[in-house]
Amino acid sequence: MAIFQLRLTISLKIPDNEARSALEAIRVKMGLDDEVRDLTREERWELGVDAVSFDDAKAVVEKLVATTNLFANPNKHRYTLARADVPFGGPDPSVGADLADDEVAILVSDRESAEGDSILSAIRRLGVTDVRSARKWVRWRVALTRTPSPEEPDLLPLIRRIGVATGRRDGLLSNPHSQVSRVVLPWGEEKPLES
Amino acid sequence: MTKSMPRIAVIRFPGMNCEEETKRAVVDAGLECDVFMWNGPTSELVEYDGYVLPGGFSYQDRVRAGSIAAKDEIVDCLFEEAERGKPVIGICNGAQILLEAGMVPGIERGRVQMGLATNIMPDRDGYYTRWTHLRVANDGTCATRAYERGDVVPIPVAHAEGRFVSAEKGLIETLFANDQVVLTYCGPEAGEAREFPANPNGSTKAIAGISNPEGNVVAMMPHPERAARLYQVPGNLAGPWGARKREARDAEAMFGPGPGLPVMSSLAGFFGAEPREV
Amino acid sequence: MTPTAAPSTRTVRIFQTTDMELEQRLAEAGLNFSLSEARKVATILARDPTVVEAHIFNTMWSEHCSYKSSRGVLKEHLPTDAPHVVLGPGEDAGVVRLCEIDGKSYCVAVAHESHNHPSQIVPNEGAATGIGGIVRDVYCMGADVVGVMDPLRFGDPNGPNAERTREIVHGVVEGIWQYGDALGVPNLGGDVYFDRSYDDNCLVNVVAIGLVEESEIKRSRVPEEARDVPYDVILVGKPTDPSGFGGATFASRILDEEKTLSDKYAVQVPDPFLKRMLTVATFRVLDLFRERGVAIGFKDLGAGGIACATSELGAAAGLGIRVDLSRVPVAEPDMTPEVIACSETQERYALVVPRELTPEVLRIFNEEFELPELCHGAQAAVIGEVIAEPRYVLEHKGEVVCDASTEAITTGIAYVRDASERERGLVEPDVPADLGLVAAFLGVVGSPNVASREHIYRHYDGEVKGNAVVRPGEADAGVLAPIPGENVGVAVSADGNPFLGALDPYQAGAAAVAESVRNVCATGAVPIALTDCLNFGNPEVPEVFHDFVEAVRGIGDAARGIGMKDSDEPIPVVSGNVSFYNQSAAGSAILPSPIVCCIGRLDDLSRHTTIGFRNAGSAIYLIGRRTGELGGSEFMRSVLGAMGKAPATVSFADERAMAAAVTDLAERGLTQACHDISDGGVAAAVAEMTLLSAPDVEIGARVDLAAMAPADGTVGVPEACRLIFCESGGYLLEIAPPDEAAALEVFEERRVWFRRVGETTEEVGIVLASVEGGDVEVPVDAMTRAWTGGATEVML
Repeated sequence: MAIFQLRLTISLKIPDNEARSALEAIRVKMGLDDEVRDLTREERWELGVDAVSFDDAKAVVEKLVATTNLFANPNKHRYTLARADVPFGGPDPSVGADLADDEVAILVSDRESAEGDSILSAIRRLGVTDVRSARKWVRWRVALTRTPSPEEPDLLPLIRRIGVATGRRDGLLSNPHSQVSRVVLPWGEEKPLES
Repeated sequence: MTKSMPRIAVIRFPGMNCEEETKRAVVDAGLECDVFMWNGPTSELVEYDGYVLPGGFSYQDRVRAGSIAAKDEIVDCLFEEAERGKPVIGICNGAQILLEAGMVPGIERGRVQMGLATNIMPDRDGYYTRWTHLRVANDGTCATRAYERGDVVPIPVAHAEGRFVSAEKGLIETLFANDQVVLTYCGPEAGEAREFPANPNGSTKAIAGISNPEGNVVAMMPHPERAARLYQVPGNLAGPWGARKREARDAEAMFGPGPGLPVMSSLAGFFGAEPREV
Repeated sequence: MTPTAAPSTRTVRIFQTTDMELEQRLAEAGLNFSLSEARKVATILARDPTVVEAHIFNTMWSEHCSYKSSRGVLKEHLPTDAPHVVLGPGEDAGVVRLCEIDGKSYCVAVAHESHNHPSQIVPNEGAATGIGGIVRDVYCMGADVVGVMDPLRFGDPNGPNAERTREIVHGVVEGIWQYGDALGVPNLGGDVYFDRSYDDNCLVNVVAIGLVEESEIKRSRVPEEARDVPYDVILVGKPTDPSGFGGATFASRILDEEKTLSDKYAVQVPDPFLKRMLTVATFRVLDLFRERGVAIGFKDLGAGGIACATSELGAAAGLGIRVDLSRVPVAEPDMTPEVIACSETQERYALVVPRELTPEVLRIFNEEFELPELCHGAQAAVIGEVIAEPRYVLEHKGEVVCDASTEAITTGIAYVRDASERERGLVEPDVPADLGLVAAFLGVVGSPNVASREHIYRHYDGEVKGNAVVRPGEADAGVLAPIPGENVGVAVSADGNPFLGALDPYQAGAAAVAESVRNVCATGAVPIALTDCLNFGNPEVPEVFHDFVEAVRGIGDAARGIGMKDSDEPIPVVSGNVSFYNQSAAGSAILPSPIVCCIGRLDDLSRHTTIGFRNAGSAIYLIGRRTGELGGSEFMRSVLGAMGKAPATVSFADERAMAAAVTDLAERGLTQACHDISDGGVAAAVAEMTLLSAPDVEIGARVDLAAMAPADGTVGVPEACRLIFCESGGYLLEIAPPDEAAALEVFEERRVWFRRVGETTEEVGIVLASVEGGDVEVPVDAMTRAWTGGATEVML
């Protein structure tokens, strides 16, 4: 047996008012309408599963998602399950594989939250003991109005202005005092967003 | 020339749900009060003498409690009015907005220096409601002038994100040194509450409320409007307020002032009127 | 009979079909009414129905909407009228007068429903939309919701389905707090039972209490004025989506595991944020109507969606409605007209308003409150109009898809079901003479059905609105001050012991009334109204239907037998709901579960009473004789591991006398503490009074069993158990020694059975005296652990 890292990504099938509000705040209230075109949101669970193979680990999580209401409700969610061999937060190009050339992903997670423990106890309540770790991230996919390049010096400051809350007009997606955030660039580079 | 009675605006952001009882408590403290819509004209908003941001779920807690409202135009106006010295009290979700807007602690003006993180509680998560005891650590702010330093005040909390945190090194110590920690959770006898449930959310140093350096902007998690009259106090609460409720034997006593009313009386006192005897 | 021409659109062919063909057609169309019902639709219309019409009838004739099995029984047995009743059953909520202040008549509106099936399938959303639906029923009377309550029944948390049960418990509680706390309606608690019979069918009942001035009550009908001036039909709220399509029919059949996934789609998506904004904006609109002095119709959209709500608005006034389904704001393109007409999308209302006010109404919702900005697609939109001819006409993309008389659509159908008493084959074990009394005491107090519910109610916001006077854990009922600044209280309790249902459904119904009445009276409030939610299995099974009839009979007899205080009137049953088909596909039904909610009035809030002992050295009085039966009791089940046979029966005369006595005592300020006796008997009652005693002093209790017994002398263990664990109705009271004489006068005056059974002590813990072999001491630590931990464990 070994711990396999899985990445469960859940998105809404119904209109996402949260993403819509965030986009409105960024474009209109924060004045970044020249920079940001669109915004979508996914929930991402990083799950460590004790299993003999990846396929077994995947089967455990798939069963949890399909037969319980812990992660998703088919009325409003769709989900995908992928392998994440590298501990999350490390360099992992697959994180950005779905990004278009003009998109960046901003990942946000609570520094300290009961949510992971809570879902683990919920899973244990169901008699499933193979899931050993759980952490929730929100993955915002930000579509820019242009295609950024790795050489651009202003790119990271712009992403920080979108992502890290520092004032009434600056930063929304993460509060740096209670949350951590990372950015994934279209070319696969990933880095922490807090300066 | 006689100055007319100070007027307070209770701001209704979409999703707030404590506007009416908050207004009632402000009126009980002897002030005039209106509920003011988030999309109302700022030209009218500036005519008010002070502001209360009530509890609830502004914008459904989208992104993070208080974060969307903090970006609203009306908050720019509140920021400017606060800079002019007008009092602003944020209660629960209102407090979350003030932190997200950088109006408190306000050591660096307008900079987000703290967050209200999800509750950390043993064996449970999510929303938590309970009457807590608070120690008044600073009796000079627009929300605590009618108390005395060291007073133990029971007021209920009801939230899922009420844990004051900061990633800025030394900030918490500075807040204490500056007297910006206004309220801390404590036991019925004033000892600091380090443990759940006396500290109901794992807040750093049991902080329940903070202010800006001037004391005219206060963010507090407990709900004073739910403790404005004695009838609201639970009879099984430890300490003198619970006993008072148990012993109340007529309408006058039941509808007499509660432990949270002085928060609103402090607002009244801020304008030079004598805070009412409580 | 010759069919007439149908509107030029898709129809369901019923005329000239064989049963086999028809069965196939209905299945293909997703219709689940019976062949005879389908043929009846065609007969009523005198033609084949359109697809849309077929779906409308399918919904309107579901058990959930039509009460086709239950209506006759309810009408026969339940008293629904009294002089203070403004509106009885039939509207979305019942309304009774509460009090008159400064010439204003204040009323309480109350609604009580179930959301059982959805909560079993999708616990969080199911329970959340339960709250969402019940508050709409009260809001649409023009009332502001001042409290909600949730009676819950779950499976065995330690049984074969423990894992699923615990997930459901968690999800339901989460759904309740996530919705209710965000909406901002105070949660007054409720009750919780666990039993294996709920393994496949949890029960999530919901009660909402509202306050409304009598002159401001809104009706679910087109106003008479619409005969003279044009009226528009406005739909406001969430854009219509396919969620909840078939919800009413889903609630009217047995849950089948194989259909679980598709059933999930029948559960709506809750949005408390939109509901909050919709509610605030609606009150603003109602103010507008009051200012202009215009009459309107107002109805929430629940089961059956647009079709049900708008047809009933018209039918109630004998007028017609024309709706253009193409004008309905929708969340998805290409929705079929039957889905638009019948989907049960949450957070919507229908308003019937004079056309001249339409622009202003739309402006308030869409511009002042920015509904479209706040939630994608949310808005107020005109979807139709009132027409003089009493017809219900739906158009879609220029085609008439429904055209029938409103009466035909809303009249419904009725069935006379067979009822036959079931063979119960019950046996009752003897109480062993060597039973350990302390262990039994702790077993009862620590049972998940008796133990503290604190872990649950700490999630619930009971104090939003600032009207809470007594919260869960303080007294037998929640008490609130619904009218700001006024010294008038409303007490609410919902009860229903399911184990009585297993033994004797008549007693279960009667006891549910008696217990809810006792709980309200124990706070000092006087009962003024009842509601019921009747949860049963498949009514087509004669034994189940017999259980149902018996339970209803019990409720009716108790409502009349206990009656209003100092009056010959019954306590009126003003609202309620029937939930059948709480049965698994494998055939096991839930225990017969009538759940009753009692509303009481407290004329002076300062006279409310609570559970916890106040002082050491007080007298403890028992009123209500211990009748000694243990059937269905917590003791029988958790200590002896049996259901037993004979339950304690309800004496209406005794309950009436005791209710009068305890409310008299409270009114005269003679009560220090008061607790009703129900689950767990005197043992649980005295334990809770001790555990919840005043916080700053230490208080225990000494209870003399000889004083409770019919004869003098010490009592043996079996008799002791029959005294302290019997659940016959009664109260324990703490009376201060100087007040004892006055209290005795009240007991005599009201002719209640009473005994002075002990006193409160400075020694913590409970001592049971006069037991053979010496006093029995229940240590406080063990008792505290059992009571605080007993139900919490289920939630972890």
